[in-house]
Amino acid sequence: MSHLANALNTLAGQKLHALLLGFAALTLSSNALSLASDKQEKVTWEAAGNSNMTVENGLRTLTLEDSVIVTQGSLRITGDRAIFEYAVESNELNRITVYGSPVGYSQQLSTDGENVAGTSKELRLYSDENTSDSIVELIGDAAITSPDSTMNCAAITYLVDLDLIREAKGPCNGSLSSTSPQGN
Amino acid sequence: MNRPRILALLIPTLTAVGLYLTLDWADDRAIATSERAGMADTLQAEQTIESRSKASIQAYSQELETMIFDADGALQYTLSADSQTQFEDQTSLLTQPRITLFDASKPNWNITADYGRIERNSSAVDDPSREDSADEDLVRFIGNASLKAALANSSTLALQSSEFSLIPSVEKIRSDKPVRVIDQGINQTAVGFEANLTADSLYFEKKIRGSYEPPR
Repeated sequence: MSHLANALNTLAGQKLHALLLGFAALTLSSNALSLASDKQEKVTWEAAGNSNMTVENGLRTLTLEDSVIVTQGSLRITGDRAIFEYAVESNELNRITVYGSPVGYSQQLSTDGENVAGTSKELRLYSDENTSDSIVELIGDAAITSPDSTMNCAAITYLVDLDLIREAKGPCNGSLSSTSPQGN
Repeated sequence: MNRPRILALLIPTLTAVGLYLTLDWADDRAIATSERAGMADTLQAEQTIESRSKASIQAYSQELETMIFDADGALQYTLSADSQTQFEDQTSLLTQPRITLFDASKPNWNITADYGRIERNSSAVDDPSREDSADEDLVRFIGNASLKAALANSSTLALQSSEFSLIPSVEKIRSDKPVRVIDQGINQTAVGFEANLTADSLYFEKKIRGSYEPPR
């Protein structure tokens, strides 16, 4: 239940978007947390096409084109185009944005093999400035399937570390359940 | 046949033979020196043969130290090498070339390789349609070609390839060979690249593989 309390605190601290349908889907299970080790893993990428790296205004931007695959531990993102943004001074990877038709996202939630998977036209992966939680934003024809739920929305904001859908922008459809997983 | 006529024929003949022997000696000396400097590997041999087939040796020097200034008199780059062999077609072979590019009189980038070749004509640049293709000097770095930021440069970028070409006037480096770039936890390999050092931008052509190690 401490997970639920944390999640509710997180929700309370958020300014919900004006277009938010008014619900936030919460799906938790006792072992449904992303692999803690993922964040410590090396981020790797590959692309069949070209790549650009530029430095401007203290920001290093790395762009990858064509058949892009990004991984970090069990995290895997595929797409057509990816943009990595690093803070030059701190050497932190601030954000990864991937575009695709669609972008594919998957990650192992626990050591017993439960996974979360999603698709969208655009995906943003970054860490919350306050909590350092990993956040995945699925934007445009967003779909996400976790062990306990399936959701299709215009956009979905997913807290990876908590297996929590923090924000869902409509129109939405799908099934939410805290007990039984739904199919695609 | 009278004596003055014989002399008139002999003198030019002896002069020509003397010139030939001198050039041949200089050629052999250049090769011997190169071999002493550890240049006997296949790569250098190919480069040397290729250049020798184009033109004869014009000059040879050791412990080269050259400073190049731009049109405004500002120091653009320094070029040093263990030795330089200059050919009549205006190409030069360098051993252990080292170039330092300057920005506002401060060393900005260091470029080194096992060997180098300076070319001075428009055919030196691969694509004539490019903006910097016209009659640019081009320095080709061959074997363990490396770019690193100089001490006065806060950048931590390092670039390694088996071969790349530098156009000093525009501070661009390019190659169609595999390359590795390392910078602040980023380690990326690719095939083919162009680096614009004045704009802090790198372009990689294909087969991109990379990784990033989060700071701990």
